[in-house]
Amino acid sequence: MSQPPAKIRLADVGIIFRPRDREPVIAVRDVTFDVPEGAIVTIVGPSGCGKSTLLNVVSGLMRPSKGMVEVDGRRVEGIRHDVGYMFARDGMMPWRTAIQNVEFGLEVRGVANRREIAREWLRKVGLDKFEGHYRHELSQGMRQRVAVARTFAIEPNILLLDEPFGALDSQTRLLLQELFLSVWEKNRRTVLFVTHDLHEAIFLSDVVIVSTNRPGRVKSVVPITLSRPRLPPAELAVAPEFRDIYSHIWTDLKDEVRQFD
Amino acid sequence: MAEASRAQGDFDLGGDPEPVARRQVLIARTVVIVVILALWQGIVSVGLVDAFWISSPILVVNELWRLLASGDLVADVSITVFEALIAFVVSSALGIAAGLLLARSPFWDEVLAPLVLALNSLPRVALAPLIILWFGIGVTAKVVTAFTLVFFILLVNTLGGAKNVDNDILTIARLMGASRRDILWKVTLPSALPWIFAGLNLGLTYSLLGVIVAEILASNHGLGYVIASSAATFNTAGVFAGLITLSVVAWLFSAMMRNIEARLLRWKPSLVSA
Repeated sequence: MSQPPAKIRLADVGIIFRPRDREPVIAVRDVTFDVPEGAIVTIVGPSGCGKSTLLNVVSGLMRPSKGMVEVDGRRVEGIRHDVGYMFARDGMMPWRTAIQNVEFGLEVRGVANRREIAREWLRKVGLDKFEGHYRHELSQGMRQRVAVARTFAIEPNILLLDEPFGALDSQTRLLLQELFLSVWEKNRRTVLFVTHDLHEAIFLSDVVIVSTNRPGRVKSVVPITLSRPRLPPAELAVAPEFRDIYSHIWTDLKDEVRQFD
Repeated sequence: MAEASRAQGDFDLGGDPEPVARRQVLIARTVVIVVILALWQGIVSVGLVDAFWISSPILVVNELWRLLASGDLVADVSITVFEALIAFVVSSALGIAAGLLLARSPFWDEVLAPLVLALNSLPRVALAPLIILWFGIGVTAKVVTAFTLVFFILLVNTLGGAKNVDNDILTIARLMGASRRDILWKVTLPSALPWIFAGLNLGLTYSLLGVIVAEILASNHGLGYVIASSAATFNTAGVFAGLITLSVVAWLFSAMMRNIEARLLRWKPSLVSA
């Protein structure tokens, strides 16, 4: 495999929290990995291993205490504005309708035909009939669809996803994972994904990085060789290749999760 | 329309109580009012209490009619409403602006917090005599008295709302490239709007209160003056006429606010059903 240029690069990153009146906490230590252009790389690890923190340093919301983070070969200094960010909570603005939520990023960028773009994205996530609905009129799954549309509508340079389907019931989660992948297939943005759901990690990713318990370190890097476009998650889950990969990664992950019991 | 869109929301958890029959409510309400008026009139007619002290519905209606016919009532109501609205608009605008400014500057918020708390806890109608001393008995003194009440209500509520913006929304907005200005106008302000409206509702009532207190203390116009001067001449019917007019004005004010609020906060689940 020829080495594509790294879109996101973390080198020797360490993050230490220093809460007032308490002992400093090392969240992440010596983390080094690359996310190649157009790939989906997923970090799996036990809760509290600093996964979300890593996303924060890539987005520039937070500075690493040590080491370096680069996007497009340039060091991240301060908050980035070319990032699509999703997390388990939908982050919808309740005072805006679905379509106005999708428009927000385009609006602050001054995009003139934002209405059409937003409408097109709502259609792609299957919410064309709900553009005038407010947050409280939408189910959790619909809200997360709005979040997907909002995230892709600004054509972000990179996508940072922090358990974006974590708050959904299992059926809805499968549907949204599928939806996400089908949207992603069409534009192939670089994605750094964080989850504790191993199925999700394997289903979506080109590479799975297993993180250790806190302080989070890279325990293993597993390339996912399943062909794209992927089968729907429910079908893929019973495929023999999938199960091999799953048990391989689970062996690594298990020890880390176990320490928490 | 609100009803239709609500029905489609699949996560509607609003446990509405049984709808009350509107007609029955209106009938019962009318009966309650009539009974109170009849009792009032009865007490006076039977001679239990002298009309000198508590007047009577008939005397009050006569007095209202007299004031209305002379044109005095219209003039007094107009001036009171004018003063209250001016005070309300100016104090609310400045209070909201101050709240948003403090929300943006944690340093000044920290510096001024005890001062705001102290001023907000002071029963500010106690300032009215001083304000009258400074500004005389004209419109200015009324507006300033109301201002001392309303400004702080809006400041405190706006600040509370602006500090309570959902962190997820802020993070997403910033990462999508929202400037500080965008954040203020498109995130903080709309997010704080329910708090601001709670303040506005209260502020309108207090605006009227401030104006009336100042009118009662020193004035030659307005509903407060009608009440105070009637009482000074033992005209209890006049006092009640003033009070009833005042409650109608207050009721109209709050109906107006509810209307604006329902329009602007259409996205609030609780208000859709209200």
